[in-house]
Amino acid sequence: MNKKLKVYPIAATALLSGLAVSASIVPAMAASTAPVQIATFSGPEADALKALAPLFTKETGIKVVFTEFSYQALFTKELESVSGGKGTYDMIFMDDPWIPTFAGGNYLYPMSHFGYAPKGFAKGAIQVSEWPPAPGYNAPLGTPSGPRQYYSLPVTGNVLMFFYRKDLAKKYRINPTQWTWNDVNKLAAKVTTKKFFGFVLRGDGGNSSVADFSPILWAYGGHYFNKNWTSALDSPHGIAALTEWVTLFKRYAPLGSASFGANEVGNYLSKGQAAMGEVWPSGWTNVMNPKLIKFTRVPGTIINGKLVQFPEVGVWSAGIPKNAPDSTNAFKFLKWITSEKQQLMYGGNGLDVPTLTNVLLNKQLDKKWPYYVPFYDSLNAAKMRPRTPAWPFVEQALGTQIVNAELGKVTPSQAMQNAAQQIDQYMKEHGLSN
Amino acid sequence: MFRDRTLKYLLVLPALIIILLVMFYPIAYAVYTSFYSYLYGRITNYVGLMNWSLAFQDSFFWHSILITLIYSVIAIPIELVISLALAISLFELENHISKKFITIIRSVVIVPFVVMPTVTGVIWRLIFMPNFGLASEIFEILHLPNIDWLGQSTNSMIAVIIMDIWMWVPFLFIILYAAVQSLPMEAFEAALVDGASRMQLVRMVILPLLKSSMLVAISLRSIDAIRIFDQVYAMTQGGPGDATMFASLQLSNTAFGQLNFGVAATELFITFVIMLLIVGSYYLIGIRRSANVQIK
Repeated sequence: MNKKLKVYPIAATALLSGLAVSASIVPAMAASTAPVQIATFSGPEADALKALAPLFTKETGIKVVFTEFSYQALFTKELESVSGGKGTYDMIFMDDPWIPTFAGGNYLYPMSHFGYAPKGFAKGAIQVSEWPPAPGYNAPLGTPSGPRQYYSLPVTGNVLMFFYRKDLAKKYRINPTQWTWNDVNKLAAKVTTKKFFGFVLRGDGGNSSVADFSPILWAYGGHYFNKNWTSALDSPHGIAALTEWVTLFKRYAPLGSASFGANEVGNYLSKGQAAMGEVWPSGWTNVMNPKLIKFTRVPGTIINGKLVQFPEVGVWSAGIPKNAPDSTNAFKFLKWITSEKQQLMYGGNGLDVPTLTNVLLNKQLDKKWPYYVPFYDSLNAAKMRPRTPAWPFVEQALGTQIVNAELGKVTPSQAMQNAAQQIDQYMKEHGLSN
Repeated sequence: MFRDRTLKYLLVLPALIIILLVMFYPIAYAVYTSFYSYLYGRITNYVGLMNWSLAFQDSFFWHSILITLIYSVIAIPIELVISLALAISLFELENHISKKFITIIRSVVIVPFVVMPTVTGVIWRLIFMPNFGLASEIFEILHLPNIDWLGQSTNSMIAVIIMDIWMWVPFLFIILYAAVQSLPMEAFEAALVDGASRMQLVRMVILPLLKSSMLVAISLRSIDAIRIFDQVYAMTQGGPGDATMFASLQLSNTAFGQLNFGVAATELFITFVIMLLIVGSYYLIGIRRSANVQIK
């Protein structure tokens, strides 16, 4: 017999027996060592979570693997995973406007499924996890009226805050306890020069511009939607708010602001090139010079002698999909990461904002990072964006019109009219409004 | 004989079925998707042709198609002229400088095409950054007014076109340079004997002989221009507003941002048809041209 032919049966037998052995071993190994798969956003917040994960593994023996995505890609990947047969992820991180899609779409386990009732979270943070939304917020048409449940736990706190140069505010004697947009305009007019800017904003449209615009809209008495989910943007309040935005953009903002996102705004403020701006504190607070920059609630306006002021919530929470391969261990990690001990560590770097009241008001932490208390104050006064799965479309329609108004292609009034028309058409076409 | 032939086809059949499935299943699935409405990322109900009606009324989509066409009509001819000039110049230089030097030039010219599109987008975003970017610095040195490249609609489109030229000239150059090198020398010699000047040589010999290669280059480039995504996503994310929201970005936004898969699938087909019409027209021009040549 040919030597080669002699070798083949031996090799084939070895290969087959190898496959058989590994086929019996692999599932057993997978069962004992399969890590908890977590989808998260890429950024400093995720870095801090990743840094804590080895401690969890040490305590419990459960491995945790993070898969990071950019904002838009995260939403898509998570939706693909939760809407498929067997999910890829055991736990998903969600920005608060995504909750209507994930909780409203019935993709997540309520926390009661694990016999858990969330406790100790700041009121402004835990509200994002509730579905149907709390009274005061309109639920999408066709949403069952109750019972209200928590479908996620807030991990990274965020609320849009007002950052300003305290030295300049003092110098020009515009230093109120509660800022109004009128005060902002006054200070900006005094400090703006060719190389230094009174106000810096995220003018690039979409998610970021609409997020920065919301506190102005609400302060001017405007709303996004009426009770029947028709657009409320084309109103005197909405137009006044956009006029304010355009004033800030044209008079006091740096060149190129129509392409600015969070990085540009944060950099202008941290490098001392701008006096004021709205910033999500998570990821930015510890790079600001505390001797120069102060953080407080976003400005409001005085309506009928009363200060109208609403910060905007931007909390990232984590939930467990119903098709998660390992929901039990995922919940263990979720509970662990939102415990007081871990949240203290999570917030200890000054970069990531915790969500538990006790941690935000912790005296030692406050001594080290003296902005958690004003953050807590803002968070509890904050409002969530409308609870509708159509929110991404609202961001595109309004965001585009905001930029058109910035660039002078349309007036604020035309911009609001266009945005309202597009939103109304979309809501009607998708059966989301009456 | 018959059995041999049947066996041959039977053996090919499994591979053919797999190829057809891989190629046509996604298209068939997209057709299916276009007849359904989606909410919360899942199918809700059959809606017939409603998505088609919505797609034709979607102003964001038609705006994205318009700006994709505007960008293509401006960028591709510029890229073609530059790459053609480069190809002819390098061909001319071949007789005057060493082969080694020609290889170096050719390699350097190709570099932008090798860079990943996303990286290209990031590089050009940094170049066009207001106040800090290289473009700003150059304008300042030349005492020219500072231009808001990415913060104005027209300027951002110009910035994208500049980036695109940098990125795609090498591709067209490779095709045209190979074509120039393969031209028959007899035509050149005949023209030179007839006393043709250098310009006449280019206009009356090189360009007519290169027409087919140029047509191929433009067809390939047009297909890619309609599919433009990565580099713009990294550079402008479609902004400011919707100034650089090209068709692919808008489709991705409709599908994955708004979870409007039904409308997105429909708009995908419309884009596909537009693409076919454009590329088809190039082929028609090509066929007519070869028919004319045969008649002559």
